Amino acid sequence: MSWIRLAWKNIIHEPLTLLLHLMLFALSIGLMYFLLMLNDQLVKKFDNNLAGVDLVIGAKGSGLQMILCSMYHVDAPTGNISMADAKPFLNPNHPLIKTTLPLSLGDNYKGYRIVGTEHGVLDFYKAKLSEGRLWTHSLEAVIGAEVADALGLKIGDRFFSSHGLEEADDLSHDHAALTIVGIVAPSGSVLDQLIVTDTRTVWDVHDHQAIPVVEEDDSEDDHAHDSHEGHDHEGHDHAHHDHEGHDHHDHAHHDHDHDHAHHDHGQGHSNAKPMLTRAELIAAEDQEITSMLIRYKNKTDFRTLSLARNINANTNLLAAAPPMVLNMLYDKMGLGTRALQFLALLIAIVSGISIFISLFNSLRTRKYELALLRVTGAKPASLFGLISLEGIILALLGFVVGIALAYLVFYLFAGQLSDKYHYQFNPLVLHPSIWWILLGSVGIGFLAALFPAIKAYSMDIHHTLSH
Amino acid sequence: MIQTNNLSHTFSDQVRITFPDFSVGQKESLLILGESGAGKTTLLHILGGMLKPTDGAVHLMNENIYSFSSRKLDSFRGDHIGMVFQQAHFIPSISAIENIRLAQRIGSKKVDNQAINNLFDRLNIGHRKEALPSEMSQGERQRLAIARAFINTPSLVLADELTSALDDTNCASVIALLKEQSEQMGTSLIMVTHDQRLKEYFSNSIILKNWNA
Repeated sequence: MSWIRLAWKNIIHEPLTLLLHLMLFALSIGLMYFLLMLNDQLVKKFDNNLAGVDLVIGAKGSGLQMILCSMYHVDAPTGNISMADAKPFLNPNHPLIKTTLPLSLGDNYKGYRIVGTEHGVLDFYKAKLSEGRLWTHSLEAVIGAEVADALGLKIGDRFFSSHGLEEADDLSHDHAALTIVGIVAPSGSVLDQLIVTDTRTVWDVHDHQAIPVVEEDDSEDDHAHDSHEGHDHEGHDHAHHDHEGHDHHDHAHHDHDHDHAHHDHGQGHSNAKPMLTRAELIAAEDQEITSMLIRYKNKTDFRTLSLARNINANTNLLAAAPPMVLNMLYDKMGLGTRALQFLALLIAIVSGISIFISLFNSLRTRKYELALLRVTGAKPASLFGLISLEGIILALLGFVVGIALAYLVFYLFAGQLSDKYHYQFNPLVLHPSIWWILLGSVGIGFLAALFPAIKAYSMDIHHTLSH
Repeated sequence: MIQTNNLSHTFSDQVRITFPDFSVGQKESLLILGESGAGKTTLLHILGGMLKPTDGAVHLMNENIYSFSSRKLDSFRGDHIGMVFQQAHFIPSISAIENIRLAQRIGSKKVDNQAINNLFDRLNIGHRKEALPSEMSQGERQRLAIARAFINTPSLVLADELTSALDDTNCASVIALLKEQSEQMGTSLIMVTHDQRLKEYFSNSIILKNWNA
């Protein structure tokens, strides 16, 4: 019978007391660890997806919402912006802007967002294709690694997108199937859970008006253009469509009462057209996109400091710098997280005090048995060790249960996030703070047991057995 | 085997008790009788190495036990002195046999299950080995306490008011068990009590005078 086994037997001899200590300790440890894991993964996800973006430009509304939507794809867009307004920022010769990535949102496939954009999106996220090729025509799509995994899609598969940012079968654009031509290798960025395609695809599945083709493929595009004429667009002004979920943007003229499932779009749109060139994109002034991700040529150029301010003051657009907005978000999140962590710490202290009271009280009832251990030759240090071990084992048990609880809750939470936003959190990652929490748990257990252990150590056998 | 010389103890309130000298050889027994307050328990604790006397010496196996360091005294007590108390206290969370194994382990001896089983059988509690102390009767617990006192084959066993709460039959039975174990193991046995019935079981006895009187 080792001292550890004896300490263990003593602990489990009082199951209700054990349960109380475990619940308190596990709750505090679990809450603390869960918050650390969540905060860490959230910040890492956000940082991964910063992608060197210096500025996001979109429709007037909330800057945070626009950034969450355009960069993290977890919120609805603030609205759409006209190409006429967006045009200056897509100009490759802009003195301050190195790269602009236009984004057109509004559709999804089984909950995975479809983003109309340009080939540069892969460079933005430092991603590479694992299979296939990039799109060369509209209605061709490249899917993220996670989309391919989750939906079992492969090159050559065709699917119908659905209107809106969340899955809804009755909003399917069943007139225009998208064909998968490429799969992006996992990059750990938001690109993993996106379906990217040409901007023209997004316009085509919504818009039945001709999209000007500035150069090349005249005959084919004329044909495609012609084939759209005479379509029945009853009650659906596609030139000013309001994507579902743009509920924060007041587009009074955006009629959204239509039912896409019942549109008589005909088959004309299913004919792919060559992908848009930047010149064609700029030329399509009557069209809309959702937002633009911008990288500056020189971040330290003082003129970049006033760019966002000027856009916000003098245009119909909203410009927001992700690092600044995200820092504000982290601050707000951090405040809440810190409050909860403080609460968890308080619970841990209360739990430690409860262990202390329990051990201290038990000394009264156990003083004879402890004295008899001394009589049979146990040294004072052995009794000190026994009581300390009981405190430490209790804390360790609480730690194990708490960490298990944190992983369980995180697993469920990650599953919910994944189901809702297709945003992946890894519930199996070991957060480095776990060792500090372990050390802290052992420390609390030891501290809680310290005074009772000293009492046991300094026990006067004669005095105890005489009374 | 055990010998005392000029033992006395002064309490914090300056009350001083002086004890008579005596010696008990191997396989011998001694009854120390005294009224309440005569210093029986104090003497027992001095003999057991739990209370250092103000004056005098206790020699056990030709060693003055109070010349040892406290650490060595703890080990010596575990190896050479067994004690039985009126109230038998055990670790409540472990079984009867585990309590005895623990005593053997603390006494720096290897756990000898054969010896433990033999002792349990001799004390007629072999069938209660796996019971928790709380599940045992008063008599069984007392025999378990005797087993714990003898498990490390001590040179000296000290018994404190062991029979005070027992009827005549059980009293005789417990004394018989103690004496039998002492003789089998070659142990010296010292019993302190105020129970006058025990005089008939012990050929050697001393009476402590009440220092309050």
